[in-house]
Amino acid sequence: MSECLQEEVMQSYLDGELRGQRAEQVASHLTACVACTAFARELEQENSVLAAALAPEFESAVPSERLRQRIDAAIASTRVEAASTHNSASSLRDWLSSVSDLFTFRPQRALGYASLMLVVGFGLIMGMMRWQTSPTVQPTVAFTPVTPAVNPAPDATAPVNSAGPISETPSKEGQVASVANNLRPRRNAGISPATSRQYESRANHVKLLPGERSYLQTIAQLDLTIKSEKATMKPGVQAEYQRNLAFVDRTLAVARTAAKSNPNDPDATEFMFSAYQSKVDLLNTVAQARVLDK
Amino acid sequence: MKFKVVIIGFLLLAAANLAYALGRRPVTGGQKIERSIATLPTVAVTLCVDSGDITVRGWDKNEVLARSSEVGRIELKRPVAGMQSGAATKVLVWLADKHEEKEEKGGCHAFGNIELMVPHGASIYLQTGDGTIDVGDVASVFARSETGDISIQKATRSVEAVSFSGEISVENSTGRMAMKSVSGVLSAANLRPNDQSDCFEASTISGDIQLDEVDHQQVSVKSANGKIDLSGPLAPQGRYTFNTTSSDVTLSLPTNASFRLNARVARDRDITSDFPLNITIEDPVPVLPKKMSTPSPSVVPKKAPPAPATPVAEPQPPVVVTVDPKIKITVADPLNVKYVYSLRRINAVHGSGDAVINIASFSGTIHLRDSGN
Repeated sequence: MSECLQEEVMQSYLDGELRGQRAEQVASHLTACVACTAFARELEQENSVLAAALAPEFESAVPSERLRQRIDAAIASTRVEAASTHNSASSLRDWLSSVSDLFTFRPQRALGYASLMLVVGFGLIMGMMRWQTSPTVQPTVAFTPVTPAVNPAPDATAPVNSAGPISETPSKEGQVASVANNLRPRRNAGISPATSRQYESRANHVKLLPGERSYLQTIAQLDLTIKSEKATMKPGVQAEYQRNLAFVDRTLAVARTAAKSNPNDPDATEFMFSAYQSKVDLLNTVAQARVLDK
Repeated sequence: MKFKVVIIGFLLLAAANLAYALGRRPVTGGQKIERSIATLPTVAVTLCVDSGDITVRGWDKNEVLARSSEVGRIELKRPVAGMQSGAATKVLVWLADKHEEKEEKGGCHAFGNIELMVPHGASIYLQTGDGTIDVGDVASVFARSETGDISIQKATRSVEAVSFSGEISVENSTGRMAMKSVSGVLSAANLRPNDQSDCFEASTISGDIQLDEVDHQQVSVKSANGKIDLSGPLAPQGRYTFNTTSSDVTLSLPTNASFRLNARVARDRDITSDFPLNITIEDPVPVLPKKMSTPSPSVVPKKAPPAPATPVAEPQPPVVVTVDPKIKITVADPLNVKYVYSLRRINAVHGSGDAVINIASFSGTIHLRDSGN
């Protein structure tokens, strides 16, 4: 038995299907033939891989013939990969086979798919909820600083623009409040020491005209001072402060839009800075009043 | 029997509570308290209350007198250590409520109206939360009220009045004037400077500003959303600056007013004048300089680094160009012809151009009215 063993014989030997003298012959040949020994080792490795991969298959009751065909196909694909001789036709076939295999539902796989769908669905629901509740951070620094405070390309940053043309007549309280809210950061209820940095951070994300940054920084500082002492502000003063802040913010947004729309008009820019200064004056008056109250 | 006992007990309890409440209530018509102290004629007097009206009058005595029927205690303290005898240079009027047990709670925490008599040359520093301040016949006044009105008459050296939402009125006074309010109306009448360095300043956010017969040579008025009205003659060589963002500016001037006007409005606004202006420069579409000056916010906020003052652009030398102005003549009344200058920027002269008027309004209209002679 000097010739190398055929694959079928080798596989039968490894599967324990050979009996008696035939099995002894194969064993003695393997001790003498280096090539067959290597091939046998390779087959053993393939068997161990397939055994692990197809363990569910082995555990389930399937027709033995069908299982054998699939094992053969898997072995063939493994050999193809090992030899790096990819055949496009066989690859496509293998891929289609693996895809079709994915849709072969068995109890374990169905359970896995159901779990996956549950997790994905839960993630989608959570994502939707977070998207609806999270504040839409506008690229505005108008204020604030807005507020204004609080503020950018006029279209993207002038917050009042979304409310349409600005009326010269004093608007209703709700409208004013709406405008004021637009001009200030959405999440400004809490007093955060990072407010100033938030303003600056937003300022960094919008296109500012020369000189705007210093106003925004000053407004942020004053706004922070006022917010830190807002609890001591009398209700009447606070209401008046909010009303005037809305006025100033609205005017500032309009002036800023004009300045951005007319970059070659120094008057427009000067009006915008005048509006900024009005806001600084307002905040400064309130901040000073708070200081004197103490 | 039990029912009667319960009723009687309840009534006794209610009576006790009522008696306690009456005892805590501030007495409005109680005994008047007076305290006085000898002072220098130029004494500085400080008074601060949380709520209450303050009335101050100047008199000929070198003495400060404080009286009130609503506070529990009045003390006239000398805040300067080591100056506890002789005529006081500074006086702190200290008040305590009737039921104030701890002295630390006095001062600005007191409630009640108070009246002060001070020397004519005194400087007064007053502050109240929601009360009114009424001052007359003193030299210098610094008054601050959050929501109350401030009225000052016959101040002779300087006035500085600040109110958040209250009205401020200054009349028949001389010296340096500064009025500031957020939403209150500012009105000034018959004001004169003591010397050329005295200036007049008024600013609001949404409050209107009304000036009548203000003779200062330097007048600066600013309002974001309040109307600005000035009436009366212009000071010779006076410099007037009016800035408003979204309101009108109306100047009612005598027929013989002589001024140089530099006015700017937004694109869709007008400048109307009863005076036929001699346009010197018409610049409807200004050209942006290569490098624009960028002003900084003029403010010294608390806990904030001081910002540099707003730079003032250098005035360009006027190039006298005779331009046919685009004038719309509106003849609503044959005897009242109005010139409507539909320009965004006007440099013009009326008369010999003694005073200089600078007006800027972003979305307001500028009116120059002839009030006659």
